[in-house]
Amino acid sequence: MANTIDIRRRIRSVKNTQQITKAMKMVAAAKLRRAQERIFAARPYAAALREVLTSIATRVEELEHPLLHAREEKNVLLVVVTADKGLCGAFNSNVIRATMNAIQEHSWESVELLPIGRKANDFFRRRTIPIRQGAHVFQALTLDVARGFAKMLIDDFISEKIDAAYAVYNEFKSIIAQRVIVERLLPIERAWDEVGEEVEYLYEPGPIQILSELLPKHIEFQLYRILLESAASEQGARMTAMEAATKNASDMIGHLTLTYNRIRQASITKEIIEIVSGAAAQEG
Amino acid sequence: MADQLPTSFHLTVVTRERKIVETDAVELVLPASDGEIGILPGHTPLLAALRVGVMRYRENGAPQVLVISWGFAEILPDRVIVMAETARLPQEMDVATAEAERVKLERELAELSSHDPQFAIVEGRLEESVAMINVHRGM
Repeated sequence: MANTIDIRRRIRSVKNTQQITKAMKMVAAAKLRRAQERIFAARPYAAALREVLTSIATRVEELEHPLLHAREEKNVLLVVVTADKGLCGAFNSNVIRATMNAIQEHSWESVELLPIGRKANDFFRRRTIPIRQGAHVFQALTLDVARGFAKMLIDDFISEKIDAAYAVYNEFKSIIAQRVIVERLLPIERAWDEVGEEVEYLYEPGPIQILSELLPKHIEFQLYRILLESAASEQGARMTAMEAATKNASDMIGHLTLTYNRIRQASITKEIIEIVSGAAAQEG
Repeated sequence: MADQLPTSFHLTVVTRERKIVETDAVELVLPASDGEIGILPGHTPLLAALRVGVMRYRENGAPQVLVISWGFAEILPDRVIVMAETARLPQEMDVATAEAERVKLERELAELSSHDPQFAIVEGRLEESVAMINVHRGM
């Protein structure tokens, strides 16, 4: 039978752990709110960008641009977005698994990875797949980061070093739900509506020039959005994981307290029996 | 064309990070890529690329100024959407800060080769801080 001091020590240690997980949950909740606000702040821009792309697509008959041009996918770059930190459930391993699956499913001739986030960097550095210099960006997630990556992708695509670029990341569905998705970044999919309201625009400069400025912006923005979504998902996942951990700790404390009380009770009963039988023996 | 022209238009300025302005304006001057363009209510539909510069608009009373860089403007008779790369209000940055930034960026720019991808970004920032200084000087 375990002794009471050991059990008491375990209860104390589990309680300490519980305090940590509880604190982490609170921190994640606060960070999640900020991350969500950034997503919301980017929405008006997204809507405006989409509207302009739609109106150009409607207006220009034969929409042709190198960034829209699909070719056979031989050399592919995968942008793998994980978190910098762990303790957020299956958040990171889901992305990594999805990346491995995607590589196996497709018969790409060569695959390169651009790991974003420390976890992806750590994982893929030890693998055989060639990787590019990624970054740990989530400490200070700014537009410039997205802009730098976008420029690299666009340059490589135009110079035909890569034939396609995909992003693997956690989409922010809700606070409690994340979904790993694999999304094509390049060539650009015509995600906008081909038929919008017919407005006769003047263009300054011409529609093609505007388009060739808009499309890189579109990529930049998509990357920025992906990073924001991943950051928000990470906090959501961590919140859920820490919530569960806190609950598990409570359950464990409950069990341990029960055992502790039983042992305590048993030893008291034993002592009473000893005293009583001792007294009975003297009387006799 | 419309029988009667609207007397004001709805102006929205957005960047990727925030929505800066949402108001009804009666007059607007934008730094378009080929030069400044002025917009009054009832302007014909226009899509314009923007460069770094000062954007001025007037609500009913006082004129307002904003430093914006790149992006696009979608102009419709009753609505204008400005999608800027960055946009800053003059009250968000005083002359001293802008001046300090200008000096810092000039030094950075001198160290970069013109082929560096960073070059264009830093150069744009520099233009932006210069525009901000001009706004303050002119006011």
